[in-house]
Amino acid sequence: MTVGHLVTLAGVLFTLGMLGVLSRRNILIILLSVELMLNAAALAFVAFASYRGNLDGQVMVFFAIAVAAAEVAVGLALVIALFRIRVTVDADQVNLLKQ
Amino acid sequence: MTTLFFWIFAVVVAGSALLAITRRNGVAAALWAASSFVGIAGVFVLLGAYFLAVVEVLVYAGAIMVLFLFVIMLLNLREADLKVVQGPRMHVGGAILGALFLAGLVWTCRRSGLFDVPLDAKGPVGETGAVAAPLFRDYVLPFEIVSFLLLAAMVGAVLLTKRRLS
Amino acid sequence: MTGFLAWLTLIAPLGAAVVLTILPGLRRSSLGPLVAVGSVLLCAATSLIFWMGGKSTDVESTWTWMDFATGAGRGIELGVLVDPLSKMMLLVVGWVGSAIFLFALGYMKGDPSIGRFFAKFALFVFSMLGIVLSTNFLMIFVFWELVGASSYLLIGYYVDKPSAVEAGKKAFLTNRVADFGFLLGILMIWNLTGSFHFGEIEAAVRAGKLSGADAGQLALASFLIFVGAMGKSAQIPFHVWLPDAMEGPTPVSALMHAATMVAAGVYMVIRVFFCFEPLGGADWGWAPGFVAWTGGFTAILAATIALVQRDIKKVLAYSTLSQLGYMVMALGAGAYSIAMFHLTTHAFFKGLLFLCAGSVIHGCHHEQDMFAMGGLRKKMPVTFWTFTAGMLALTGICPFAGFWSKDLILDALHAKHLAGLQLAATATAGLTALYMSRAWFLTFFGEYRGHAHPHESPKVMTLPLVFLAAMSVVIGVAGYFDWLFPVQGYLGKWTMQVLHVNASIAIVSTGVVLLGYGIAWAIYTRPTLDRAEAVRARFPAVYDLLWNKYYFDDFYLWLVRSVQQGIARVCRAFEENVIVKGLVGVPVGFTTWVADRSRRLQAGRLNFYAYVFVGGVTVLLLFLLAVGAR
Repeated sequence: MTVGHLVTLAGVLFTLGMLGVLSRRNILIILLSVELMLNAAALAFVAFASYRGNLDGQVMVFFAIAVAAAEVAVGLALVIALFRIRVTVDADQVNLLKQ
Repeated sequence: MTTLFFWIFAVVVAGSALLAITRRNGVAAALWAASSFVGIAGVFVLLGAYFLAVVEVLVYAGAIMVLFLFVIMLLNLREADLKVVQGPRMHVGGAILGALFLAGLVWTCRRSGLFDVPLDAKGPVGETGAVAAPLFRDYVLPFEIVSFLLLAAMVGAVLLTKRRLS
Repeated sequence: MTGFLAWLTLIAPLGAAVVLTILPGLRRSSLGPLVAVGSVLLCAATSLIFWMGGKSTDVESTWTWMDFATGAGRGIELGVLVDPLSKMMLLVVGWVGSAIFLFALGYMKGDPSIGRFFAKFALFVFSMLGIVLSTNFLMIFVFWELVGASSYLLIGYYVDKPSAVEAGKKAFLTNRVADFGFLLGILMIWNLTGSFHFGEIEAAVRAGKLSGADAGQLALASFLIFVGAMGKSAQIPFHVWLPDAMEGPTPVSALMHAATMVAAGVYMVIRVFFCFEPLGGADWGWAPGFVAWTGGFTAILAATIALVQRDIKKVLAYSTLSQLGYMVMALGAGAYSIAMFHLTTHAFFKGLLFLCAGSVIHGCHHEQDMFAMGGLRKKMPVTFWTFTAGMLALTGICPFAGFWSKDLILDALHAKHLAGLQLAATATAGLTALYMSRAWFLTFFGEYRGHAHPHESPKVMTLPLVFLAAMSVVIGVAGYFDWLFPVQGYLGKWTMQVLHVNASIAIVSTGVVLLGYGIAWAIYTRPTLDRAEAVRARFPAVYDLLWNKYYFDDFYLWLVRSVQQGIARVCRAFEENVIVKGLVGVPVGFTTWVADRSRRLQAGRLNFYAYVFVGGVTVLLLFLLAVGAR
């Protein structure tokens, strides 16, 4: 197990999250994919924290998790509000700005 | 031994993530995502970040995923209501982009010699007390700001989901 | 003072026209026509003052409208030029015009839009006065076009009559074609001499600066200017509008044919005669020959067409064409003062004849066919006698006006050894006598063949007739006295000096004229007109040729329908296929294609935005890696 392996794992996770964002139309799944990407970043942080030999990276992950919690709370609230107006969670249906 | 566990967790993380983004059923997707998070928590343990591993399981696999599941069930979507995926062009394009991105990343790691740095029990142990020390000493201001952020998010979420927005 | 009077003369009819146009109350009141008549009477009065003043009233007053400040003659000037030539023309326009305006008061009485008529009539006079008084080519061109426009308005005065509207359009368009030549000529002259001003151009030509190629260009320019004159003075091949212009009210025909529009062309050529004059004895001018022969052809062709017309006004219209041919012949022969003289006499007797025709038409309740008249001698005595005076003047019976001026033209042609033209002119004199006496006999002799109840016209119409008839008798003498007719002296050595009657020529022409009278007497004095029918049946081909006016109209129709339409179709195909589909269509298609493609960038698809974002990040990452690798 090397730093490179961990970074690669984080990269794979990030790419999978990215693919989810790109290929899914359900807003909920897109949000979920964003969470995967955040976790990939967290993984990289922890890996480099071990590599550097201090705990600052882990503190950063702690903050990231807190921000992610806030983001998910607001994001899901938005999805609910949107669903109330448009009765959909399809991202392609939400294009009012285009008109 | 550590290497073996790493590979196991790596497979769990990547496989669960792959399944999570490909499931049509929202509930299944959320559960597979939770599985992925648990795998990450395992990797954290391997790296000695015990506190973060616990937080990961509690907050991510616990609270956030429960919130997701709750919303999914609340909206009660039928799969027929939803064209779940984009067209094939998006898939192919996304796969190419992802492959390029990953290749670039791996190549960078290789070039900067990250694959030659073993991590076995070398780093500091991220126990609760050890993490709390910098958190409350060096990072106390961001910590307080995050608490306000959480408060604002909570208020915002409540406001957004109220029945009458106007 | 003289300058002020000249400006006043020019502006007064315009003022009358404007006032009548913008004040509907005045236009509808009985006072309205009097305003227009007053403005023309003013012109008559000032013209008399100018004429009697002799040299003391010669004046040139200019006002610079636009000054381009890059040297003399580069600006645009409006001006009034009072010299012997314009004085004579002012007399004609003022006095003949006044007579016609007074006549129109009676003729148009009861017309519902008499105010509109007089407004346009005054505008017409204003346009003509602008030509008469103008000091430069630009100004003359402006008023030239104004004459065209106001003639269009007047010919199409009966707006509810389609043929009148068509005739107006025809006159305008025909004139436009000729005016294009005029404009080109003006521009060429400007290019040669750097000036529009008549005096400056004359000085430049006189100074002999133009030689070689420039002289050739001057000949071409003068030819083009003459093309403009051909349009207004209705010379072949631009004559087609004039007979149709009879659709207008009779006073319009009278004014147009006697004093204003058709005279404008001849007057303009006299005004710029120096362009046509051979220089230094060298015979470089093919333009004068062209001018002379144009006049000759017009004279004889129009006279022959007039032989078969049934409409009394059409006879007079072709007669005008023929007489204009005389004037143009004189111009071509270099006898400018004689052309001006004939213009003057012709204005009086042709105005008289038209007014007589108007009186007859008025008396016969708007019947114009001579074959439906006859015997009007007793019913309309004043009209009969004045018409007779006019006819005698036109046909050139001594001592009436036409005799003197026509004889001088014949003399001029003789002096220039233009035997062919002289023959044509003499023959035309005989034809003139034939068709005029034919009209005379048909209208005033025999039994009345119509169905109306002819009556003599009111005083306001007969008084102008008497005045013009008196003038037609006496005015012929004027040309032989320089103080009465100052043009001769003014043009001086630049015009041909013919001031005597050549007895042999006069006798020959008078003989031919009498022969014409005799033939008409033999054919048209029979009560039943059977001889007229017999003559027509005897020469059907000739009759058809003349009745169809030598097929000029048909030729033009063919030209428009076949040639012009063919070119138009080609142009249209080019426009549709090359310009619209190619020059316009290709950019449109390309723009549409680009827009269609780029539109998707803003389709509001979240995934696509993310896609682009990720793509950008990836490209950036790979770029940085590639840079870092070096």
